[in-house]
Amino acid sequence: MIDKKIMIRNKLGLHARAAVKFVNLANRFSSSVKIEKNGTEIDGKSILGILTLAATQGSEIRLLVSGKDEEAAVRSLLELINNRFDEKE
Amino acid sequence: MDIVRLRGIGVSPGIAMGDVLLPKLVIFTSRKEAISASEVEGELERLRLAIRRTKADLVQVREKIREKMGKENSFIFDAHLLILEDPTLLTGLETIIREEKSRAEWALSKTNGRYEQLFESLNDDYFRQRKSDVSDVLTRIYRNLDAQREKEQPPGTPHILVSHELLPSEAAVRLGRETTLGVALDMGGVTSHTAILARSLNIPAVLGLRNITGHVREGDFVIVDGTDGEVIINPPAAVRREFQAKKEKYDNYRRELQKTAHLKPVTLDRVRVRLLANIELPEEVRMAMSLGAEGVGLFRSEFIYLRTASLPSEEDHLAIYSRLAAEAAPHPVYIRTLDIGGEKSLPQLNIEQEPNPALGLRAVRFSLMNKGLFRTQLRAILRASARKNVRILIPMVTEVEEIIEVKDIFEGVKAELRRENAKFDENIPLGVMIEVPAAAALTDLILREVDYVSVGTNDLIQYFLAVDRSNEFVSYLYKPLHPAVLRLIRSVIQSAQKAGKEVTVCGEMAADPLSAIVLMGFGLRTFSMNPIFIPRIKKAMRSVESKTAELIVSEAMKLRSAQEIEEYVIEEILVRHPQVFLMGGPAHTAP
Repeated sequence: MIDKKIMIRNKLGLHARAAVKFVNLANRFSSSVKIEKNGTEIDGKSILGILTLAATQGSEIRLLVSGKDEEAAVRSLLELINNRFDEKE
Repeated sequence: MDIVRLRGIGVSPGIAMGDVLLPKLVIFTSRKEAISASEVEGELERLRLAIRRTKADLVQVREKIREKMGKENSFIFDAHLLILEDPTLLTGLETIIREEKSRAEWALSKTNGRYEQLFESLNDDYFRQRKSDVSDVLTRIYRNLDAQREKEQPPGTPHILVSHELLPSEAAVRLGRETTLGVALDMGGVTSHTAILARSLNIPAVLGLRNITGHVREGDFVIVDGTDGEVIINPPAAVRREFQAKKEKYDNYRRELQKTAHLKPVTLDRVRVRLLANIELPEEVRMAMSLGAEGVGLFRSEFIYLRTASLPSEEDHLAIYSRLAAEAAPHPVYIRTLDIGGEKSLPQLNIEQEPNPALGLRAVRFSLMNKGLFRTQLRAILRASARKNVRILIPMVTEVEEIIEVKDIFEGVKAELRRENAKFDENIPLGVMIEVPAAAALTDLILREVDYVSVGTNDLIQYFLAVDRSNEFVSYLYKPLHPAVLRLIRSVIQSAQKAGKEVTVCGEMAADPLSAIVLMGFGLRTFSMNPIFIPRIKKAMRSVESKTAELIVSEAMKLRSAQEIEEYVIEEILVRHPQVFLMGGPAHTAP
């Protein structure tokens, strides 16, 4: 299992549009993806879970990924977050 | 049958009458219907079938909306599809059916309640609002549980849509149907999504009726008067006839307007003028074109900030501008950068209350204080300019230094885009609004820095005459034909002519036939206005000679007062061209 801490940097946080991108990307991997924020852990392949995290800009989250393709999954997901979900701010 | 007349807010003019369609708002059940253990599997299958149907619906709707209204409106359905397929949602529903041995309806209702509670507990308003997306999806599944209820009404039956409220996704779908004749809602106001769509699609609508859903039943006959903001339920024959006449009059008027669309905007002596539209939504482009607009002379970008809870991203801007440019092509689109601050505030911008907002941190002053926001907007406008029909318009410039600073940022943004190999129009025209008297006095110098100017007469007159037109004690002093105002505007137009650069007028003066003729007499050729007024200005232009206008106006400029000027111009014009100010129909009822 890979466990990575990361900060949400885009202005709107993990809002609906970003959540759609995150779930669609996570679904491309067979590994399980969990997100933890302030002690709450949710399924990273669940858009409802992500929305209820209410991760606004500046939130610290942890990605917990485990499975055969965990390395590739973590790399892609971190890139998406670091690229601010392709949003400009 | 009871006759009821209800008052609301007329948000889209015109009269519609027909039978009521009350879309079945699913009232989630509070009754738990038990089933036997042997029925559980069947119930689970019933739920899965409903989910499959819902998925097919959503995919279909998404494609339709994307095609009709663009990607930024269809995105919501991507989110809804993911909610529908959310593994936690499905397991949750199935668990309730299995463990409580209950119907799927109960599982959906209970789940809806759970999510409502969960989202309510969040402390961010945007995320709290997402509960309506979950309800939206659960409602669709609920409807699809019943095969009979799946098609709630045979499409093709014209109707008046009555509802408590419309979710944005619903508004797009329902108003896009040709069978929707009119709309009446309990909730909503002039700036709601439904209102904006209704206006752009020319569907009469009255919103904010508070409790029309409590007064009507499916199949009642109602009249929706979007012009005067009234709804009449089950009107007697006499009232029906009265409104039928009103409807015909209005419809005729609209048809007359549309007929002028293909006529050339030329004066009697064949001088070509250009009539452009002031709009604030990409959805309005088509309507503007149908009324004869030859482009968008003023796109107010503020609504982009109004439609999101937080600040719009570059992609949000880009989606709107690209669509605008595509819809208007090959005609030009003048995009005005954010004109906010002062009294036009936005909650997410945290603008401080100022003692004198009209003279405060507004428009370009605000943009230059918030360069990050400004750059985001400029980048998006540039990226949308590849078709070469986009222009940039900077509001409320006061001095040349501001223009230099704007150009500096602008060049920086261009260089950035070049490095990113982004496509854009290298020669995109940059213009400024002339609305501060100081800028008007400097027009010749300003024109050395920019490609064109656009005169915003509403603000210019207020600032120049020191009159707040919304102040009832002094509004009588607000006079567009005040000789001082006319001298100022004439000098702006003449400076532009001398510099060989374009000048546009985009205030209300451009939409008033008399003022527009005066402006034409000064040499103005490009007018931008609320699209509904384009036909009447075109008609006025087509019934005068530019030569006559020039002569009359130059004489009028010797007069001392707005009243003398108005009387003189009307008289002189009517002697030569008696048709000018005639316009069939109730022009005053137009929005």
